[in-house]
Amino acid sequence: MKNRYTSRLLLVLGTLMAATSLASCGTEEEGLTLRLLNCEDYIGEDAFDYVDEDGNEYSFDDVLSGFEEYESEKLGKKVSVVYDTYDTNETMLSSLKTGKSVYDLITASDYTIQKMMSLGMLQSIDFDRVPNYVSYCSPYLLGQLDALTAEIDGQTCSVGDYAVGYMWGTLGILYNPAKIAADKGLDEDEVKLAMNDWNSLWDERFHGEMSVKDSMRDTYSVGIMAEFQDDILAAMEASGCFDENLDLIPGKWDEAVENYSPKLAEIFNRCGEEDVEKVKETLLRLKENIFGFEVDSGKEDIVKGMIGINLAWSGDAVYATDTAEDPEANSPQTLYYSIPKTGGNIWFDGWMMTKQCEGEQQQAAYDFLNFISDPQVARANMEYIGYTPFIGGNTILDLVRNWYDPRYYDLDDVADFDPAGREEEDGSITPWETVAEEEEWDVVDLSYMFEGTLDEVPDVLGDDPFTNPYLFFTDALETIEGEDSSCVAGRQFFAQYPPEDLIPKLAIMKDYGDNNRYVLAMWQDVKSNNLPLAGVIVFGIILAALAVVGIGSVVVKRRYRKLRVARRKAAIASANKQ
Amino acid sequence: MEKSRAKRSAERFFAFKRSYLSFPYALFLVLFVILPILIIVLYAFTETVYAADGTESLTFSWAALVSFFTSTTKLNVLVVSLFLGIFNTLICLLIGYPLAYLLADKKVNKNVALVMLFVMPMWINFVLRTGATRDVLNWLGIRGGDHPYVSTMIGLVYNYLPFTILPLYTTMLKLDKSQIEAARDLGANPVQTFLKSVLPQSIPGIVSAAEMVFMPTMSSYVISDTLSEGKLTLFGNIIYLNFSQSQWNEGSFMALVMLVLIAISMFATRKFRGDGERKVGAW
Repeated sequence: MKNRYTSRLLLVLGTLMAATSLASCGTEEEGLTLRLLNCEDYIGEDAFDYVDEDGNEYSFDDVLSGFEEYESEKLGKKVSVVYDTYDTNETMLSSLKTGKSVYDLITASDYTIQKMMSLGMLQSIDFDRVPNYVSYCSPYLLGQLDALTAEIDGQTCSVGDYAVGYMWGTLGILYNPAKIAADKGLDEDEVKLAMNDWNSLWDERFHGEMSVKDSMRDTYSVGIMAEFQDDILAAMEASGCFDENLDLIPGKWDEAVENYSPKLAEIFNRCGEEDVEKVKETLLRLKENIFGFEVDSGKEDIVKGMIGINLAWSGDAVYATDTAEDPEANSPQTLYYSIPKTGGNIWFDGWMMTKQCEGEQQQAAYDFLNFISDPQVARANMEYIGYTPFIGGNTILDLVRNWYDPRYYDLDDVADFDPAGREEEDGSITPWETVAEEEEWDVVDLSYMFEGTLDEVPDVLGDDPFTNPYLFFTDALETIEGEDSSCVAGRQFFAQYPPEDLIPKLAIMKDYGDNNRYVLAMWQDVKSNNLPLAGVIVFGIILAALAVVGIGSVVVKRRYRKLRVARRKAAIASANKQ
Repeated sequence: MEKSRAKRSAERFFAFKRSYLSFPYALFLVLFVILPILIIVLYAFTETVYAADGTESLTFSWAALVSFFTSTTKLNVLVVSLFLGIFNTLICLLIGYPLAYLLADKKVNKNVALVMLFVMPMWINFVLRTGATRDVLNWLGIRGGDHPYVSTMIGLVYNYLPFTILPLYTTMLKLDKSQIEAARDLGANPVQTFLKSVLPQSIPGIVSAAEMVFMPTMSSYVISDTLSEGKLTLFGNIIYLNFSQSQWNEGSFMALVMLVLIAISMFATRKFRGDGERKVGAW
């Protein structure tokens, strides 16, 4: 019987499959489909204007449809983009490993790019076909990507050859000084100073104020920064590039990047069994002091005022800070973002080309990489998602000036900038130098980001913000003077472009490779908990009660049965007697 | 004219039979129940081996089993989950049982609207509800980070109470009223009436309510994650963590442990379930 039904079932199934496969064939002919896989909310979705290299003007609804329009015109046939998103690198890699979904271009973070390279999923990128990236990418960031390597078939390959950098950022502390000061009876400046030390997360004074990431790698990295702080301080002192306030000594930037950064990277990437064990104890203590672990509720919680401190990625910090200070919100809050003085994590997300990307598809993929590396598109992305792109160039610099350089705040167009000075209400002009002194503006050097990407740069740079295009004034940073130390407190600007003297103190967190199992076991130990004693007692009482009731009912039943039997026997006996 | 053989057999082939209605379900069962379970079993007892040429293959291995039973952390999480499951079941029954009894009493509950009121939360997705519960608890001053167990228990009871009330309510509706009356008439006091008549009659309802609560609680992870602010890890969380870290073998083994536990609890309660429905095979 069964066989007949199965064969009929197979027949029906077969027909269905044939029908669907026929239906899907039809669309292949019409044009070209580029398959993209990106992280959620990680591409510009607002309208923007675009001018291509031939001077044709476009106005696009968003980045993806803009690319479809641009590329269709360029190739002379319909190009459509299939765009899928994922939530974490881990789930993305898991689903790709099943091999059922095929994409041409995928974004991922540094360590996942390393992993995918060594799994042999990627092809190297021919940068001659991505000219925008070559001309506008920050050389410092390129160097960082190149320094990161992975083994492919026994050969050491550089991540820089397999990924086109997309966004970068840091992991820092997002905090609300006013709320913490009010909750804990502290001074706001005290809070700002404390947030320059990772150990403050362990500080009893901030008990229950903070949430950290429910993400193994991120929270582990914070554990490392605290557990091995002494080693880091020793390395800082040995390098001779930092003063007793742990600030970079002026003029030592290159030396620090060359000598100190690799030492920090070594400490930062410790993941041997013993190191992990030490960090575990540290994180278990952290668990006692925090409000909780969060995946993405943290930025909302801090905006709502539920917590005062949140371990945050720079782009999330920008988003939260913007949302919190919105004057139309119920109670606008002023949030700050800091990277402690001992440094922290710098991360990169890049686009990778899979091995399945071939032929015409590949042409479209390269065009997409070039399109996304165009400063105009990078600007559209940056304005929408708040993360910092790999791309520099005048377009981005103008945007940054417009946001953070008070000289440019009120200008609709950067070209209207009057180098002479500020125009006062009575029509007189106050020179910028005077204004800067009056308003206590800081001078910031962004050459690490924009060097070599700008159109016109004078031969002699100097340290004057009027002639050196990498320097500019900002009122977005505050200097806080404590009793025995001082620090710079910042907000969105700090998150998007950390001050240049922090850059040598940032390290990439590499793929742990085989050691990932130690870190995973550590994380399970940190996240799991023993039953509280009260629970064990209650549990025991309940079990005992259940056992008593169960056994008791059996005993009682037996007894009753015995009695019944005895009664009946007696009744029968007495009946017999009569 | 006599129909040709071929035509007749074709007619028989396409003739409608009642059992054909079960095909969609059978297909569903194979694709989404049986196949996944087989895959879980496959991964639970294998290990991925990477050959030198980059190809990967599955080989039989006890590694996941050994790693589960030698890990105090995982066993600990299992105990905590079991504890929460039992505790949640008991509290739900304690609250739900008298409530269902009252709801089923026509004198107290004149229309069904009241029952709807208790079941209504189920209409809203539980992730949304849990988010709202978190806000309410915070507003009440029960911060999940400080009281992970308390807030998780509140969330669990709130979420699973409707699942206890419904089966109990339907059992209570079917209670044999004349038996209860007879017990009273024959001189049983209220406690005796309850213990000897009401309780034994409602045991199938209690069992199915307990089943609806116990296992889902153990495997739930959104509620504990949200309400304990990630400080309380249940078995479901740790399975998810293993899968997300590409530890498919260990994750599968733990999923299998959970399946076995479900099977055991189903088996243990089998004889208490009313055998009202006679089992009839589709084929």
